[in-house]
Order: sequence, then C-alpha cells, then structure tokens
Amino acid sequence: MRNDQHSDGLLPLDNSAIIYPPTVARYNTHMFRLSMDLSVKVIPERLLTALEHVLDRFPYFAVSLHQGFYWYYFMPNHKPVAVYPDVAYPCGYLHRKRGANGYLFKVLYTSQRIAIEIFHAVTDGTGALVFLKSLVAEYLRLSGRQVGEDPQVFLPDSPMDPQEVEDSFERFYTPLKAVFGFESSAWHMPSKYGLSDNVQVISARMKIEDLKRISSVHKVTITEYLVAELLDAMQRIQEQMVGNPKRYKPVRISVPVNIRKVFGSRSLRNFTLFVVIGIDVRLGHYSFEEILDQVVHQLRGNVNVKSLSKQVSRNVAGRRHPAIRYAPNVFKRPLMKLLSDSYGDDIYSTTISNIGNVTFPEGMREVVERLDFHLSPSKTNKTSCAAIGANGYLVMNFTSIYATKTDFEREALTALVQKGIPVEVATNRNVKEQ
Amino acid sequence: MAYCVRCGVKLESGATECPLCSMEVQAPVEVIGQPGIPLFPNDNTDGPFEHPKLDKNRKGVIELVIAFMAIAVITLIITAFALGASFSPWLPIGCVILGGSYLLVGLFVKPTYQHLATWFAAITIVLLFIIDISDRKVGWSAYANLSIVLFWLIAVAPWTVQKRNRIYGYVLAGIAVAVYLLAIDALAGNALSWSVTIALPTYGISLVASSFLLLRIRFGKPTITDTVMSLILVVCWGVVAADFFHLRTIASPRLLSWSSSVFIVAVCIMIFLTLNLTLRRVRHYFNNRVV
Ligand SMILES: [Zn+2]
Repeated sequence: MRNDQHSDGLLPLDNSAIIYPPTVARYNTHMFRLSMDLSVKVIPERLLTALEHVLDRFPYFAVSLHQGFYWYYFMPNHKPVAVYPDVAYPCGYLHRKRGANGYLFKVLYTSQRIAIEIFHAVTDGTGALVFLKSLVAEYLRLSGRQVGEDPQVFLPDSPMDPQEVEDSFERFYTPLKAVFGFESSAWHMPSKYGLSDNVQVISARMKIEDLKRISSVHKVTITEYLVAELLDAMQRIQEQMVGNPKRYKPVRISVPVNIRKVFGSRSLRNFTLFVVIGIDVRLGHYSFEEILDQVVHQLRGNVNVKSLSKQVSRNVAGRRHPAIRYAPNVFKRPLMKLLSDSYGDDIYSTTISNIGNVTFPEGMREVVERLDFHLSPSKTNKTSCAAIGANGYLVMNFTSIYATKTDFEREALTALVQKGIPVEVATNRNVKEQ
Repeated sequence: MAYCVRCGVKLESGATECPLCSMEVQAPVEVIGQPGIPLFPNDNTDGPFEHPKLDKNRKGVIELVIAFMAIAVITLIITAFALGASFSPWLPIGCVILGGSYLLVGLFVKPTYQHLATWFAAITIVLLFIIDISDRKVGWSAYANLSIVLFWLIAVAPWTVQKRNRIYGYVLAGIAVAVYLLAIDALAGNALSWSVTIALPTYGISLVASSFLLLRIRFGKPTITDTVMSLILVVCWGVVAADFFHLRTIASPRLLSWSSSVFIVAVCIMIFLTLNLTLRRVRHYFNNRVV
C-alpha cells in the first residue's frame, strides 16, 4: 500500500496530520496531553525502562519530523528516549529537534502520575490513550503486578498489526464529486483581555452518575448534553462581551469524532474528524432546550458513513490535487498557516473533545485514580475543553491562553452547578496574582 | 475543601480563592484544608521555556514574503547570467529587497503608528536615494526625501514623545515647515528668493490665524460649526496673505488683486464667529443638537 512504511523507514504524515507541522506557532502548539494519576509511587528509572519496552511495540510513535521539498515526513528515531519531570504548564511547545531528543512526544512523571504530551501530527486521542495505557500497564508489570487483558493494552512482545500504522483516510477515500462548501466565520472571544504563553487549566470533576441522570432526563448522551451546555455558555458570553446584537455572529463548537468504529479501522494514527455544531444567535436567543435540539439533530445527522466519507474525501482530495501535491513546501507552509483558519479554527468558537469513559483491565483498575485529558487552545479560539471519564468521574479540562479571563469556564460550570450537578474545580492559574 | 459561595463549585484542598471568579474563600482553615500536591504544575523556572515568538498568521505572511523575494532574486540573477553584460541585476534586486522589507517591517516591528511610520519613511528615503543615484548623481530624490523628512517631523515626531512634552513636538513641527520652505528654495539653486519674501510671511500669518483656533480648542469647547468655520478662516487668511506678499515682491501698487473676494469672505466669517462666541441667541439659532 502507498502509505505503508517504506523500506528506508520513511513514513508520510497521515492526511489529517499534514496541517499540524506548518501551523505550529505562538499560541498554537498542537500538543495534547493525557495523564493518569496512580495510587502507587512512580519511579522514573522504572518508567524509562517501561517506555523503552513499549516504544518497540509502537514504532510509528518513535519517529522524528523532517522537512522535505514537498512535504513534512517522519523518520524512525533511534536516539535515546527519556522521561521528564512534570513541572511545566501543560501542552507547551515541543521543539521538533531540541524538545525531546527528536521525539514528538514527552513522557512526564510526578511522584504519582504518568502523563504523555504528544504532537497531534503523530496520533489522535485514541492512539495516545492506547499508548499511555500500554505504558502504564508495562510499568505496573515491571513493578510486579499482574495486569489482565484489555483490547487497548498492547504487550511489548506482541506482534504489530500492519493496520495500526495505516493512514485510514487513504483506505476509505472514494473519489467523490461533492460540493465542499465554506462555512462562515463564527464568533471568537477577543484577544484584548491579555494572552499568556502558558496554557492555563481549569479542571472540573463531576460524577458520571449525575451527568447520566440529567442527560437521560433530556434523552441525550452525555457528550450531547455537554456540547449543549458549552454552546449555551458561549452564547451568553457573546451576549456579555458584544454589546450590539447586530454584531452577533454564529456560535459554533467543534466536536472531534473518533471515526474508527464508523469505518472499522484499527489505525493508531490520526483518524478523527470534526463535526461542527452551531446555533445562529443572530436569529435570537436560543433556550437550552432549543440548543439541545440543534445539537442532537446536527450531531446525529453528521455522524454516519455518508457524511463522514465526504470529509474523508475532502481531506484526501486536497492533498492529491496536483497544484497542492507538487507545490514546494516553502509555499505550502506559509499558505497553510494563512488558510488553515478558514477551514478550521475560524468556523467555530471552541472545541470539546470527549474521549468517553475509559475502562481498565484487572490489576490496573485499582491503581488508576484519575484520568486527565488536555487539548491545546489556539490563537483564534482561546479556550478549549477536553473531557475524559474514569472510575465513575468525568473530568473536564478547560485549557486557555487567557492570562486571567475565566468567564467562559465560569459560565459553563456554574450552569452545571445550577442544574444540580456538584462540580469540583482545580487550576494551575496563579489565582493570587490576579 | 471549601465551596465558592458565588459559583457553587467545590474547590481543591488548600485553595483560598475560587479559580472561576477570584472570590476569596471565607472559611476556617480546617474547612479549606492543607494544600496538597498541586493537581497541575505551573513552574517555568526549570530552564528557559522555549516557545515560538510569532503567531501563526504573522509567521505565514513573513514566510510567504521571504519565499517570493528569494524567487525574484534568483530569477534576476539567472537572467543576468543569461544576458551577460547588457543587464545589470543590482538595481532590481535592490528594489525587490526594499519592497519586501516594506512588507516585513509591517510584520516585525511593534505595530504602532510611530514605529511603522518611522520605518516606512526610512526605507522610502533609502529606496528613492538608490534609484536616483543609479546614474551616479543626486537629483530629484533630494526634494522627495526632504518632503518625507518634513512629513516625519510633523506627523510622527510629536507622537514619539510623552504626552505632556508633546507641545515641544508641535513647536518642532512648526519650525520644520519653515526650514523646509527655505531648504526647497535653496535646492532650486541661486540665493533664497520666494521663500523669504512670500512663503515664510504667509506661513507666519497662517500660524497666527490657526493659533486662535488652537487656543479655543485648548481652553473652550468649539462646536463642529465653529471648528469648520475657523479652519476655512485660516485658509482664507493664508490665501489673502500669499496674494498680499506676492504683490509686495513684484512691487505692485495694489493692496490685493484676485484675493479681495476671499478677504471679504474672511471678514464675514470673522464677524459670524465673533457673534457666535458672544451672543447666546446666535449660538442657539445655529445649534443643531439632536439629543
Ligand atoms: Zn467562584
């Protein structure tokens, strides 16, 4: 197959990854983070050994990024890998050469946590979760624990399935003659409140039980409920920040959808698409029920093979177009920087990525206390939200480049509290200095 | 573990302020709890924290400009090799680089009016000078560059100083205009002629006329009508003065020639402004307030 690993080890970026390397810039790091808090102590040396074992099983993560004449590409990285203390702000910029010895991810630890921060070009949330689960399982095995079987825990000596490394976008590409429309731009929270180069986190933890109860009242899923809550919060923030209703813009939220199940793919590289859900507030204020209606309608209406195929084809057709394919990287790079917003960030106001409830095998379940998932925000959309569930709790992490402004987070979380969902918050913001 | 009374959220152990609304927690120490290991690290002291300096769009434009500049320069060099001695690439290369630097300056320097205007003025002066000097003597560029310097002194220099010292900037700009008039006259060759006899006196009269308006703006509250009329008045006096001093230079017996009608307009406007200033009824008659 075209995108199989070539004999010299060169690995082309997958179709949704090609946008990430050229668009890395201040406030756009394209890093995301997954972390597990454990009830056992983490010993760095043992973690490093576990990482070395596991990395052999995931050769497509042990790569470095290079710039070619036409495209960026991956090459196997044989430099020594390292683990790093988790001290800095999350989702920080990772220099592709100096950052982590050429690796595009960093494994971080504190006394009771193992975390991975990874460049989005390498994989998406699902791929990183499999990697982290396998890493922690291996770490626990090295600590002398028995870890049961789990489809998302790969043993270091198990054979690699060639499908893991495939670019599923290429496999499920069908040449379609569909019209690819542009969306108008959505409302964005303004920059004037002061930005920070460090990603600020506000984390909210709530019981999945509570969320289930309230979403079943509305007959929707938890994701749909949270999407509606965030849209509603964003609608209110726009009403507060924009005085004149004539200057309102649509409020939209991007929801990454793991499409492996839809298409039946086992790839561990990027295979996620974004469904953009929105309300046009220029038509008037939407009540929560109206928003929920829109969310259900738009989300369910877009997550099916037909609609998703259209997006897959758009991704692939774009890359295959001769004018793009044969344009030198020196031109592609700046153009991607300038045009990426109009296809991506500009058409929505924020993002919520919900990995869902994560289950663990026997032997790991008792040890993992908490899971966190962080997305990096961007210059256009200053606040993103990432959710992950484990052990009966759902953690929503709001990552933001606003130095002090937390109105959106407050609006979203107090709405949950008012609806009777107890919320527990934590932060890395220097609250005192505000 | 306390709760925020405003947001209703539970705070992490040891938190003394709500991260959502910055409200201070009013609770006994036992309730607040001891700060544990922070859930999220936020330490940057561990070595220099590296991150890109430019945001995405700015970086994109810079890269694009540099790419196009590089292509243009390479094309010119290849052309020069192909054509041999009949084509010198240096002037066009200079223009490409300077043209590109116009764009780059806008992206690199601090995006304030003073910085941008200063850089643009400097680059333009260099560009004009280079184009002019390609035949090995300075000609027309001296006039253009003098004008650019004048523009900078009037429109940029006053804004580079602090606000309370700005008056000196204005004085400097006022003097600069006078010097400019003299310099242009001197450049034209021979001794100073029209600048001393016509331009400077006219300029002086205009300054005096506008100082009335400036004083009113500084110490009173002129209406839009007032300001517009005053500006017209300044122009009128300038025109009348120019005519007057021109006639003196050619030793004409007439006091004013074609500008006598302008003089009448100026007198009318002066009467109007005076009445408007002194009589409330006139002021009310011409008022045009909406709210
Ligand atoms: Zn609060």
